[in-house]
Amino acid sequence: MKRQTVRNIISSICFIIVFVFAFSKVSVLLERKNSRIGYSEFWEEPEGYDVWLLGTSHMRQGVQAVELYGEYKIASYCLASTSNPIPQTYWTFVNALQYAEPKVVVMDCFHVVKDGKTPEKEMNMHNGMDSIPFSLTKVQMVNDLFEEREKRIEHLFDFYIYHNRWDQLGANDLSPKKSLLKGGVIISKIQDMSAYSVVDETDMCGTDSLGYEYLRRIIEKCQEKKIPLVLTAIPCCVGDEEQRGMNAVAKVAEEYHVPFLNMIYRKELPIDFQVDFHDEGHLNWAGGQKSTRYIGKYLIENFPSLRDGVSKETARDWDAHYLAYKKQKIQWLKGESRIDRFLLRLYDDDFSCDLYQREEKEQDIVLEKLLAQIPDLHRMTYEEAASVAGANPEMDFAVVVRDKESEKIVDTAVFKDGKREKKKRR
Amino acid sequence: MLFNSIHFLIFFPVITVVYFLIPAKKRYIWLLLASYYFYMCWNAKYALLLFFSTCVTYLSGWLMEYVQRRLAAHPVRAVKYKKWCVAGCFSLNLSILFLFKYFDFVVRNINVALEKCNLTLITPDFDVILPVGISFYIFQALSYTMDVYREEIKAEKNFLRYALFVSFFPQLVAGPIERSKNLLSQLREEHVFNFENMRAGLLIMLWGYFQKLVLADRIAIVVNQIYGHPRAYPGGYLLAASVLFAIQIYCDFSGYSMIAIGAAKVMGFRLMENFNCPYLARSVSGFWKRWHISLTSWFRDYLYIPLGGNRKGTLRKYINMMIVFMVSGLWHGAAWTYIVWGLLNGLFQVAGIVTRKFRDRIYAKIGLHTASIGHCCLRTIVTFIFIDITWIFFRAKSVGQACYIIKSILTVRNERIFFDGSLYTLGLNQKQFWMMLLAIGILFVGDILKECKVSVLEVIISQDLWCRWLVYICSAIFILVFGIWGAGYDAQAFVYFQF
Repeated sequence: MKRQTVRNIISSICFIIVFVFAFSKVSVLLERKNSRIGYSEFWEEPEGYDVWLLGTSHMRQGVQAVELYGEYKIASYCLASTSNPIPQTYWTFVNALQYAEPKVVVMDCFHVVKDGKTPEKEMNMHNGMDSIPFSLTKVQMVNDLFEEREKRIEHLFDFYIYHNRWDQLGANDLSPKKSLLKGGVIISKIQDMSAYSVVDETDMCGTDSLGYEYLRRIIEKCQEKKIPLVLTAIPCCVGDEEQRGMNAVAKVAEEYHVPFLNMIYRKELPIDFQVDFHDEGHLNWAGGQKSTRYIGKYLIENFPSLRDGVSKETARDWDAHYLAYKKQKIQWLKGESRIDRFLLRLYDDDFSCDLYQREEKEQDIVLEKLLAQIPDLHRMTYEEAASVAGANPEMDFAVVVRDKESEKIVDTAVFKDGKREKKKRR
Repeated sequence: MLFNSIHFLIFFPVITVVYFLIPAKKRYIWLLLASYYFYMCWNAKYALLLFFSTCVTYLSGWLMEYVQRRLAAHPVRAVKYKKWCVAGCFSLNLSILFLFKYFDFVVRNINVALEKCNLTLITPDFDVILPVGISFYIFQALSYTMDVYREEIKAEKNFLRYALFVSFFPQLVAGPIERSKNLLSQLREEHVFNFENMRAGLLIMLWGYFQKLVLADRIAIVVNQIYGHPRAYPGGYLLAASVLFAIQIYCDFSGYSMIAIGAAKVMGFRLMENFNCPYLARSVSGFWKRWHISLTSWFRDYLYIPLGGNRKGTLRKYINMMIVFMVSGLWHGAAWTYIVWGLLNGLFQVAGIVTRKFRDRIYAKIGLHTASIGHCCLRTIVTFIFIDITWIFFRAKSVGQACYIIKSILTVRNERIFFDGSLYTLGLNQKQFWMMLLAIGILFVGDILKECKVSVLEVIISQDLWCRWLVYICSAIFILVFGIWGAGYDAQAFVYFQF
């Protein structure tokens, strides 16, 4: 072969390598970061998580992985994703099993009654799938979930869908910050769902939907791998059909001898429909805390392998992580400008607070409930409040929040007419 | 199979690699199979039409040469029989074209006429889909018949090689309409893989993809929005859309041609240039020497000249021009808008010729320097305005709508839309709109450089390796990022974005 031809071939190969490298960098830049922010921490280092949380956004907001560690020293990761149909949950689980194995799997069964492999808003599948590394299993996943070739291409090579995102690039695209929530989401809004009435627990539908078929596959996969599985129905205010569908999980659970926690019916789970939801589908911060504690307690009581906690090295990493997470919680607290959301966030064992409440102010039942559930609350007199927050006879609330561990003040806030007052310069 | 589809991006390299690996003598068979596969991806059944047209025109060439040989001693009779061959071949092929492209149009217009006379309407039983590329390959095949008739080439004996000439996939569905003299002879040559051809071909294809994906398809978003609702977007909007449409159609067509030319070049074939900076023309006749050159030259050689061209007096010349442009309009589509478009182009050309002496006298009287840059720019802009007026008819749904659009542009005063952000509400946000303008600027610079005889391709190739690679990589990524292709990202389709 001529020297020039050889040179041309080598040059072409080198060019292709350089091009692929440049293209991959551009592709990562343009990719929508939600999936990376939420899940890349798991996919980059999947080892070391004893509990995997699977399901939909109900799980993401209903069980906080970081709080599970803070309270019970359980190392977990939430692989649940928005609108996940059960087939997607199954395949996410199978993909994850390629890289690691947990000690326990906890899976939320919302959507079990659905027959489709894709949700109504199909684009939401990207939230969970984009960060899953490319592999033969991912190809199988995509081939199973999507019939159309374009959809398959879109999920295997997401540049196909994100290539024109150039006009929406922001600071988060240039240097994306990983979420501290280990896949979870925290919302501090409150929506009154007290008008919701749930069907009877024994009111069930059939178990022949596609969701149930894939639920059985998940159970069988766990049994094949000898991984204990806990099925749950996180509290939510959904339609009767969906609730009946979740109720019927009890039949499948009994069939396979798998525990099922249908949490909305559990009296020992003190969910308050007036203050613990942020919309009809999802628990807010306080509701999520309650649900997390319930699950955590159940796991610790029923799975001895989790009682041992994590290794020293893992504990070191988690402790550092939890510290960063606590700092983040303080930032969120400082960012809350509404009294209801501020009080909601105080439902937290990491903080204690001193509170002044103006007596002349008409009582708001939601605020009273939020106040009643704050674990470590001390009432202040006006004089005490004025000494810390400044004299202001018109203020409705004055709150001093302390880190329970260090007892240092982390935030001081004054509220009038429901809104946080800006700090006056002295 | 579209050029900007993943299917083609896999198909083309595979075909090319195998092409250079198999023995040279069999390569045309491989290309023929590939070309038919390419066409059948559109619609497998219509490959039969392609085959039929190929057979008819091949036989016509063979028959004419046979007649020529047998009646060598009787040239007058030979010419007469050859004319019958040509007539038969043209009739058969144009009948197919008529059936699939114009039958519906004719029936509709007959029905309109009958309705006015209170007579019964004709309702045809079948509804046909226009086979893709039919106008292109039929014209290409007919040009072969005419070239054999005129004895400009010998009839091709090898049926498969001839079939490849008609169906050669890079230019099959959107041109350039090749001549047998150019392409058939190349199909007989042995092409050795040439690295420079590959590089040049890929760069030409890259420019074609830029025109098609970054420009044409992006501009189409705005144009479709406005032309889809002309009454909701009067005045300045329609003006903007009309100007943008001129660029859109140029880039769409030229882009496809460039991809075809580049793809052919990679395999060692030279296809004719189809567009030569048309909007830098200084007259309508000049425009038609630069726009869709393969079609214009086809009409010149096979319609205008047989009609007499300019050999039968000035008036006949003008009539011939009008006929050619009317037919050209019809070639583009079966609708009155295309016919009016064609006639207008003919009219502007004729008017340009008729008034040339008068204009030159005026310029001389007022002392205008016709060679000055200012005058040339003015002529270019005026030519663009005339051409753009014709494009309004080309794009509009009806002649009535086109007239409404022109009237709205001339009478409605809403110039503020160019300054108050209204243009960013037409399907492209502000950043996307400015990206479109930037791309138009790049196109404009490219055309100016070409007009000044600067070969951008040669300039790039003459640079150092690192510079060349930077240009190649940046260009390719630019097209991939800013091109309109694939599913595309729509933020509205995502909910719970905070998750």
